[in-house]
Amino acid sequence: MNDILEQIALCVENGKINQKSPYPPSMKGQLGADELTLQALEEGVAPTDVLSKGLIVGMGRIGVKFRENKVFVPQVLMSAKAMNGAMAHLKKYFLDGSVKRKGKIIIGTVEGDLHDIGKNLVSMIAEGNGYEVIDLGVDVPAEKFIEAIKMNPGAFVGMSALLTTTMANMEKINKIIKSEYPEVITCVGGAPLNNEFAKKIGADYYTDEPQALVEILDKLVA
Amino acid sequence: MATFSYYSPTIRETGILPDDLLEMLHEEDRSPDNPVVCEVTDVFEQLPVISDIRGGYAIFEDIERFPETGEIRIAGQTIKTSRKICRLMEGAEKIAVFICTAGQGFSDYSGKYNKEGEYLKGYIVDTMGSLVAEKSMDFIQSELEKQVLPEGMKITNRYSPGYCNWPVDDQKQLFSLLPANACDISLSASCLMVPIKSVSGIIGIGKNVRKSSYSCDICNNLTCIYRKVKSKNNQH
Repeated sequence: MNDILEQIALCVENGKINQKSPYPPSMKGQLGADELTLQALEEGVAPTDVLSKGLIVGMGRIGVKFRENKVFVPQVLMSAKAMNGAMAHLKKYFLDGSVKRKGKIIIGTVEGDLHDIGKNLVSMIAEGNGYEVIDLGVDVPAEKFIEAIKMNPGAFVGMSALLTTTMANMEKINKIIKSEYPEVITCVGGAPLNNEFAKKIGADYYTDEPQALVEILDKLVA
Repeated sequence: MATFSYYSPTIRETGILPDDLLEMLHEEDRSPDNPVVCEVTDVFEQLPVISDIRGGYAIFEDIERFPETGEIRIAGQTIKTSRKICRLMEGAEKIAVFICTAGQGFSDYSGKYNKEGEYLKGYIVDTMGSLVAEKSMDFIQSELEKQVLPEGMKITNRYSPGYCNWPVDDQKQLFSLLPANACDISLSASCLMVPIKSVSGIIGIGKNVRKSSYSCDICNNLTCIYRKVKSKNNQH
């Protein structure tokens, strides 16, 4: 069992989507995350093990490599694609409750800002690490965050900003969230931000890369 | 208002090649099976459809520098460029205010691919938009250089709000120096240019100004993609 789960993890880590995909060259012709996930389920491996001991392990490895500048955004996106293909086979187990997510995170780029690459990366890595992601998109006002929090009790909130001018909007949105839902944990990120700014605006956490956020969330749900 | 010189270079004139983007993406494996290479090639072929390059500059002679405060006054508008940029404008007898866009198509296509779950392609289109905006501005900058050369003048590097400690909200002052809706680029309340894949800023002109190979050391933008490419190249 462990062998096939390790193979799944390797496929996700290397962005090997399926047998047809010729990349990476060292895995050409071999089964990909898609077929191996199906095979594991057919062999009776518990869906929750496929997720936690296969897919999440692979996505976690690529997240760490990204943090260490050993890979760059395109490789993370290829891993996410391999992960998504495999996740489609687990959909019914999520629906019937036999596989559970670690938690939920509501993510959005704050009002006034239209940049989405950082937010999308965080979404993919959080999802690949077992979290349900509610992506509100870009230019998200406070009301939209509040509405999502109301609909998803217990969810974490992640906010992104890439401009110094929209950092002020982040402060405003965080204040509104904390005044209406003081128990909600807010995490912030984006190029011009730092830990000091996060503390100043009353956000609970600042991270400068997606895997660090996953590690914080993992500790919070443990 | 100063005359605005308008340019609309073609992709060919900008000199962009697929390898430029692959370098920006840190992609060392150039094998044709590599999905990054495939997508970059595909997006490159689509560039004439996706891009809508427009840009230009207006040259101002009514300028004054205040090195102690880092301010520069251009035709009565004061911009707080930072002391670094103000120092780099030393010797400037004129200043060109420029803008340039790669077009709205990059955001539209990138959004479309992301919606379809084609995240790699979406990201490549987005990054290509940044490259097209910068390379187009390189073309326009070289046209400016040619224009001032007969007067015995040279130009500085170009500097933009958001870099080298120049606050991004100074975009408002810059835009007020240009014709309304020049090149169809607008400014949002948060000073974000729309289309997003646009650049703006200033270039100094004078007999005694200097253009140097750009140094990331003077800029505080630690996450800039160009800085990462440069620092990677320096490792080799």
